Amino acid sequence: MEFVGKLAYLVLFPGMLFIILAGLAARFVIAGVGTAVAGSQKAFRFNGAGEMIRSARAENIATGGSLRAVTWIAPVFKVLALSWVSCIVFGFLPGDLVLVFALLLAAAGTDTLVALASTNPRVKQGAWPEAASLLAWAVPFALVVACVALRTHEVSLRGLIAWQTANGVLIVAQAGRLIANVGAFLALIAGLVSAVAIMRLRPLGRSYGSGGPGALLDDVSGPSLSFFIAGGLAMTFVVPLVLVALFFAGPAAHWYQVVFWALKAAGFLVLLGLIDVLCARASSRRALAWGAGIAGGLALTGLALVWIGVTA
Amino acid sequence: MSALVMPWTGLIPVFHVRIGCCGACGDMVDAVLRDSFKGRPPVAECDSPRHAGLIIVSGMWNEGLAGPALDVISQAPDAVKVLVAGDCAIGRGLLAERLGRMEPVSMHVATDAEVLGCPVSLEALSEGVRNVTR
Repeated sequence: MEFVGKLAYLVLFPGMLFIILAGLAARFVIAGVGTAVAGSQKAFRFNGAGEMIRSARAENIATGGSLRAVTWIAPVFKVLALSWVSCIVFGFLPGDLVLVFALLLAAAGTDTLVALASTNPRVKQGAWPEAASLLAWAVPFALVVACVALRTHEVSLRGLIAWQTANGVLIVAQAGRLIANVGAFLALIAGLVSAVAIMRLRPLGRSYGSGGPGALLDDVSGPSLSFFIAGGLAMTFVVPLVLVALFFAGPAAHWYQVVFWALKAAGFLVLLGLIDVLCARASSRRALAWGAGIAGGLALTGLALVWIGVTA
Repeated sequence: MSALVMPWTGLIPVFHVRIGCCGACGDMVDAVLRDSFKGRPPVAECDSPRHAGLIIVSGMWNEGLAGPALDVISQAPDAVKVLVAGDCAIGRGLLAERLGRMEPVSMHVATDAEVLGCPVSLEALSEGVRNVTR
């Protein structure tokens, strides 16, 4: 019975169904920011739902080689991994920071796998930029996770949230010295940069459509394309949620506290939407340099400052 | 193709097969797919024939490009509709008169609609697209 319950968490709430629907709302916020800044009505009309439903009803055109299996398995795996992250953040399933990082890495890695498995040489050319984009967020985000764990001495997400409930949010926490809070602030900036890349937003992320004539999803069609879109939407919701849990967690015992969590996530979405609409998309080499280099350097500096702050 | 394949809901994904000629009809198709104007049909350009709900073929059917064009069109879903745009693609018009014989696209591909014109007008093309996608 316990197994069935966990399955229900993964599939319904706060799992697959919930994160896809919440992802639609999250995409709506980002598109709304784009409309407010750029003034384009087209941006505001986007929410992904129409394309997802249309693709689900469309024909799945068989591709050759290993891609056929990968296009069915990869997006489902991605949504499942993100559902697991959502369950951990909501406290429905136990999990630590390393597991959250590994699940996010696995979810994002599925796109690289699709590019690698493609029999279309033009799509396969996109495997290196996909891998570069993966590294652009994975390196700084790993350091951010280390920074948060060092600051709070907690590895479980539940413990991390409880610590912040007791001591205040990470960047203004009362425990430790001020320099540790400065380190946490640098980690927050690095975390934001990572979020831009993992959510495929500008400037560091790769759009599903980028790559000239061989875009990543050109060979994918029908229900599997629908799953890819769902995975992208889920990512749009889960990543800001993880950022809130890492840096701005608080109690969630009453309904208004849950609403406050949602507002914090919406705040992150507005900020990410602003970054997206105000920046041009960087080349994969530059994204790697900015992500792994500059954001990684920031996160490393933050880690060093936190270490000084908590040990001195 | 911007974010997540097709960014707007309710729009029909269109793939344009331009098989070459003077290019005027192709430019008109691009205008329908990319520009904003009053009476624009609810369509959006897609980069893959596999995602298409409608394929628009423009240009003159010729031996050199017939094979690749057929390869591309065969990648589309079975339910896709095909619209042929312009006199050259229909096998008539100024060039057909000069060359004496020109094969229409419909001889090789099952088509759902044809829009006449040399080049096709924006209004006729919009109307044709709207009719075939209705």
